[in-house]
Amino acid sequence: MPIRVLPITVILAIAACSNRTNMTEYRAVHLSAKQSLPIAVQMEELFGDADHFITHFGFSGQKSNTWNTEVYFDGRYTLTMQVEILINYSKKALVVSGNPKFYLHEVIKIDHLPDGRIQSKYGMNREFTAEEWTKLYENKGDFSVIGIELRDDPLSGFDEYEQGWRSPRIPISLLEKKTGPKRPDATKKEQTTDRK
Amino acid sequence: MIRISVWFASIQHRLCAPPKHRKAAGFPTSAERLESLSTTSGQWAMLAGAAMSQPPSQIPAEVAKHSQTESESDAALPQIGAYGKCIRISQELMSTVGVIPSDDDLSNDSGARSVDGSRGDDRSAGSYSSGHTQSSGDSRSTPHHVASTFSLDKSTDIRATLFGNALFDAFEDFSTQPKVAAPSRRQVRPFDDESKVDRVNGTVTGTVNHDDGVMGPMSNLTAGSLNNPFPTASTMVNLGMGGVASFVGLGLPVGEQLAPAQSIENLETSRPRLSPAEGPDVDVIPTDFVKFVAKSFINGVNPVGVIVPDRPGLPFPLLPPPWDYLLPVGAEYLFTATARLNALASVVGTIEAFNQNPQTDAMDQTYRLFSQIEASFTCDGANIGNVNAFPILDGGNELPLIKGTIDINGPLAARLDASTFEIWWQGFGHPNPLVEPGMQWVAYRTSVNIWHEVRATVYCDDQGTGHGGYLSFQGSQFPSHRLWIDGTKVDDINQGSFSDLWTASAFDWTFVA
Repeated sequence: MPIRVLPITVILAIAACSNRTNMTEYRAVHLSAKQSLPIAVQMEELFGDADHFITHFGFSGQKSNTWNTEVYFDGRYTLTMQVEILINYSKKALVVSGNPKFYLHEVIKIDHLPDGRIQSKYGMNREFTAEEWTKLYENKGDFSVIGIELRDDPLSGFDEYEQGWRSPRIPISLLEKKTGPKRPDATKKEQTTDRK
Repeated sequence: MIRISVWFASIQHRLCAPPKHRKAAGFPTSAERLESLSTTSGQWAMLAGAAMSQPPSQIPAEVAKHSQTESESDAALPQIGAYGKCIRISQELMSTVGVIPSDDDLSNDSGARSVDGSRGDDRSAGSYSSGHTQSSGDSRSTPHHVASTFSLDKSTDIRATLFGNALFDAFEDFSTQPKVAAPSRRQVRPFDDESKVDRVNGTVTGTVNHDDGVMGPMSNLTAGSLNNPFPTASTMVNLGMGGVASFVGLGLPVGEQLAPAQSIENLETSRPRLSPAEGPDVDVIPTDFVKFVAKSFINGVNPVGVIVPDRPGLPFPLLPPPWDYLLPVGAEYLFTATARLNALASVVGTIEAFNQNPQTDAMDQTYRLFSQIEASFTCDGANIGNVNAFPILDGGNELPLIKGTIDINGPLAARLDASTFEIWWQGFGHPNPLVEPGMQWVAYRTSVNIWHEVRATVYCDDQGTGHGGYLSFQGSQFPSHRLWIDGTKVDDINQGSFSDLWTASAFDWTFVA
């Protein structure tokens, strides 16, 4: 069929540019963060459950990709760590190329929209560095050591909120054995978290 | 090849045509929306990289911007041909006005905007640290805009306001290097204009008298057909000496009677006229800035969802490259829309993963739609004035190396009360013409545009300090949406199913519900 055969150059160009990956490769690259990105492992250790994902994984033409580790805790807060990485698809490995940044957000209001989506309003926005993370990790997730006071007032609907944001992502755990310091509520959360 | 050309032309035409069905199911057009809102909230005016400096009593009852008409776009297209046919002239004008100045060359530019006394070269990096940054009274930091009013000599039933900015040295050759030319030497300077509206043939003519004494002809502005209730004109004029001026002319509804007493003065006369050399010692009201950023981004393609009702799509043999290559083997034998949707999702979503999760308001390509409105205004006590809004738009990737479109309705502003303005805009975009056939293969759809819509506010407190807020934030059911005000994440909406892209809005069937 001429319409499918003629633009062979376009096809070849796309094929050359497209780093088609498969799920095995996707997981392998992410799991390589166990060695190359210990902070991501620490976050999962501390908070019990975490999303790990790479923005624009497999996209060609990316100078670098953004690694994300995101956790939801205390029924009100989200903590996201982002860092620029370089991916070697052939070796199924990544190296960190930037400085990690941490974003802590407090959800203050959750609305269930008629179409089933969830709209959230945010209060506190805080950013901190890897050095502050180290303090936080060494103190088992006590945010007061970096000058942040958290509210112990879980929001109604936070589980649905968390589910709404996590369900589109591919679950990956960097922990083989859940060791290391852990926030007091992390174990309980592990038992109650039910990802669909 | 003829079939290919015809097919692409058809797709191109469909995708590039501005939404023309805003009235479906009673959804108001932009103009109608303006009109209806103006009845409750006061005067409206367009803020297309332009000033709206009038105190409330001086603003005409309904100064409005309407959605760009095709005739206007067509008239302007020859000037912006290199921009691409999918981008409407109004957006280009606004985007150009809102181009971010470069780091170095603004240091000598008198008209550049500033934040906290510094030059405005860090705006894209989210350097606004608070919601009400003031400019320390430095008059040079205040954007210079001139909004002059002109009206027909022979009639009082049409009136238009001409807004403009002059960008000097922004482009060496506007016709051939419009978009890639970095604004390495950009200035925004005020200008005077003397213009006339000829209602009969619908053109605006005049001359531009710049501060630096350069005189340049102003080309004809298409003022819109007389059938258009909101005759609007926009164009960009090469002023010579490397300068470009953008103009947006606004007209009142034909037949709208205005008393002569409501004539607007040249706004530049209402405040000290500054030469570029003058500066901090001039007593002017400090300008406040608030930056609003909305992003629509693809968290992931799951859940895929179900297309209801099941319906046919573009026959597989008609799929152009690269789709016939990208889709999995056997895709031509998938007979339900949902099965085809899952095949498409396997290509675009789960493996080559978007996983977009923007944490800042930076224009960093980790989104599908990016719309930024930079609002500037002055607070005279609790009274707000001199409201400006500059849009900056960006469209992100849909597939590796393939970017989608971005467009905007608005920004529009309405005075809510003496201390508050509302700024409304809707950012929207549709797939790249290379991508859309894959979507049409899944199932025919009209809802090609994803969107987000913001009703933001800027207001002054009793201490004369400016703030930003928002009244509502909405977006299409797919993808996710997030809103920042001055770098602070304030709101987001998680996404529905991937299949929601095939559900048209009840208000506009070219938009996703």
